[in-house]
Amino acid sequence: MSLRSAAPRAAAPASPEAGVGAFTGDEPFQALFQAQVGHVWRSLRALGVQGADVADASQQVFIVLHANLARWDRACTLRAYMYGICLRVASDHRRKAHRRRERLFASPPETVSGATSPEDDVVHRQELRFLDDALGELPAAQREVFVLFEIEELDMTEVAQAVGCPLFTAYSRLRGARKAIGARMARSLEERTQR
Amino acid sequence: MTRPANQPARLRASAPRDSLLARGLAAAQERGPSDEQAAALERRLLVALGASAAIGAAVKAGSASAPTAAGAAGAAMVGPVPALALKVALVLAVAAGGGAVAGRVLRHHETAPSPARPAMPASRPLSEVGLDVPTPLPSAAPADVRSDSPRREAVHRAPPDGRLAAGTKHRERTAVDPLDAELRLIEAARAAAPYQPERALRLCLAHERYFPRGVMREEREAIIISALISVGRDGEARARNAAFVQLYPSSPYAAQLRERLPAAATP
Repeated sequence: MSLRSAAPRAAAPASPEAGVGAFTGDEPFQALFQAQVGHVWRSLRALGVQGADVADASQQVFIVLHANLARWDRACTLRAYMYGICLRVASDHRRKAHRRRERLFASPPETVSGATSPEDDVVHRQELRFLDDALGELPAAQREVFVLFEIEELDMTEVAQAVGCPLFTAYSRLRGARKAIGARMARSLEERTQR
Repeated sequence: MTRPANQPARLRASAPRDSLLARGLAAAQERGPSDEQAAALERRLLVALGASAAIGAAVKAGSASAPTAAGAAGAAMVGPVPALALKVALVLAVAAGGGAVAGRVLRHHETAPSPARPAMPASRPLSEVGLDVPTPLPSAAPADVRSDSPRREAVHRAPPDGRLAAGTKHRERTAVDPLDAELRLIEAARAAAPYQPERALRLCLAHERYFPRGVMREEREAIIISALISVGRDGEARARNAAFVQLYPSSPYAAQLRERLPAAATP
């Protein structure tokens, strides 16, 4: 069964028996999952999904992607289509997280593969925190463009497709985000050096 | 929509390598779920999609593993463009009242390919559909492939020797962002186009001079054609439009311009 044909069957109620034929370990969707789960996870983190929510949100992205592949009309790349789903899922999770502030998470440790020693890891996490703080202060529209272009490294045409805005608007948002991030990171640096 | 491959440089490559921003972006590109998290997620997804049999197969084959952590590496430095920015700022100051251009220096960099990982064989190559899919290992790959070649080693890209200690003072360099300069020109031109087409033309021609292959080329050409129609230079507008349609056959501006052109061409 192809990736495309997986979609209609996935929309059916998911019972283990019904699903066996729809999705087996040899099917392309699993290869897609394995290839893209890192991208999905990372983009959701950068888009503000936190702690234990990241796994839930990642799962949701793949479920939505699986269920909607048949509707993908190739007007945009599948990558842009997938990131478009990430944006919506992240937005939904941010909104829900805002409503249930009382819930506390023990953030599961995720890998930061560039870190080669405990000290390095501390520096890495500090830099990540600075960036996350800066991203958190951006308006959602600017944050989405920034994350997709600067972290996920989509080209701007794909960014505009994923976000669903004109290319010019995407560029304007990128510019605004860059300015705000640059200013915020400079402030973080100043604060750190004063400590 | 097709568009000539022409992208602004990314900040990770353009910011000074040891800057907080470049390092933060590098760290953001390197993070991802742990092997256990990815495996657990894969199992949950299989259950959610109703594939209990596949779970057994996946566990048996030891195929569940960590994700790809794609990122960027090595940067080819391109110097700042102060002279260009000064010119653009001047054009804007004169023609559109714009201020000085400030931002960040941009440089180009290359993207490292995603590392391979143990994966189940796919019946259809996903690269066909535009996704970045690592080369799958042979389906007969041994289950302990991960212990032989730890994946995390494969994805280490940021060279640790270039890293500064936590307390080291960084210097964030203030420089020029060509994207910012381009957008300023095009924004000013767009704003001027409905009421001051002559000024819009001047701004676009300045853009053409400084950014002949800029990322806003499509918008620039559309504004120029529109402005030429507005000032009654129909012949030039038609010539430009013909070239525009050839270069950007599916441009969202094409229909608008087509609608305006015949009316302008009628005496």
